[in-house]
Amino acid sequence: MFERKREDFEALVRAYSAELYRYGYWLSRDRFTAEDLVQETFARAWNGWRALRDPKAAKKWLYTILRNEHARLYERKRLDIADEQDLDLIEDRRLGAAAAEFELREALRALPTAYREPLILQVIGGFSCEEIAKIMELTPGATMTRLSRARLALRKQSEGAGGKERSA
Amino acid sequence: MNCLTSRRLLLAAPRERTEEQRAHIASCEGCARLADSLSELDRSIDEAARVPVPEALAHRVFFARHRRPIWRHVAVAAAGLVLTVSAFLATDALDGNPFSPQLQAVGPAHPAIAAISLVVEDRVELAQEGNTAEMHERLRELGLELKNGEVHAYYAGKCQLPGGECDLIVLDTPEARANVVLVPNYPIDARVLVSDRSKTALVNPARTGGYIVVADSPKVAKRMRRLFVRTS
Repeated sequence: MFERKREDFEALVRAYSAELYRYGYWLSRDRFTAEDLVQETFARAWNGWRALRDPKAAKKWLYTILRNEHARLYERKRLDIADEQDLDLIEDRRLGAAAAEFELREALRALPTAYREPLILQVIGGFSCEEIAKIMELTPGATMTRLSRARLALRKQSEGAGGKERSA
Repeated sequence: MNCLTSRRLLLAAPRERTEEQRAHIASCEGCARLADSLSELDRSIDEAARVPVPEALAHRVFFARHRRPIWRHVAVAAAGLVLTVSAFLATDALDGNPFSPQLQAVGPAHPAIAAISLVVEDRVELAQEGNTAEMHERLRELGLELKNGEVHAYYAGKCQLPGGECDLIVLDTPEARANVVLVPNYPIDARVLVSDRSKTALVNPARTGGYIVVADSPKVAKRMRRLFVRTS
């Protein structure tokens, strides 16, 4: 019984540690914190393994644990912003890097957490809008709005970088 | 579906397309262009978001998993649980000396017990191939090296013992396997053999601190210990 549990858990660690690390990184924007978050997530997952009734739900469960752990770490310093917040400031932040990927990464880093998080859950985690809404405890409509605005901001950034390269 | 709805859905989730949306995109040049452009953007975002993951992250998760339970185990044991441990303080007996070993009980905070806990509960044997260069470096710091060609050894990572941070090495020979815990910061001045939970820990002094061989039997622990030689 223990062996089975251990094997299942190992498979889970192998399957999700990398993407959870990336999720943790984009939540905290710090590599060390990201690794701590992954460690803590799996420690909690191991302890609560019996509570998981549906193995198919494991991925969402792990993401939720990491998210809660991050919130606990920062004592729920809410970084959420109003959906109406203007994002123009974001695309103006140019660091002068030549590589488009680097610029996009910096733009992603500069996005407010409220916009960056659903995008990371979608792109890295592969979650649907509905699933993201549940993880983030938002309405599906608010989730879609945040995702749209995040993409618009990055798209402007991406087009700006392309324009700069062309004009150079 | 009209263009406004289609574009709103595309911006929120370019990969989640309903049949109705697909049909609209197929018949609308503007929406098709936006769909292509957003797919391209998502590929770029995906690449940008894939920050490098630390090497051996999964292995470190395996090792860290029971770190707290070890401490809990130590705390519970210290609180009064009876520990059935025998320590052979006169370890000459290990080398074939016929004198009876002196028996003494050791506490749960003893590094040998902590090392056995690490192996039993942390499942060190789950480790895969690690960084060999780092292993040799850690051994050099203790004034030790492994005999060439007699054992397959690999470095399994960092862990915690009551004395502080330590390193794990897995030794693999055709006959047996053992785990070795390097404890650079723990003062060890004599060889000690401890048996607990069907494992044997052989504690050995080194130039600084020491190293603990954890094996299935005293015989294997002793054989594995002989694979280490002191450097000048």
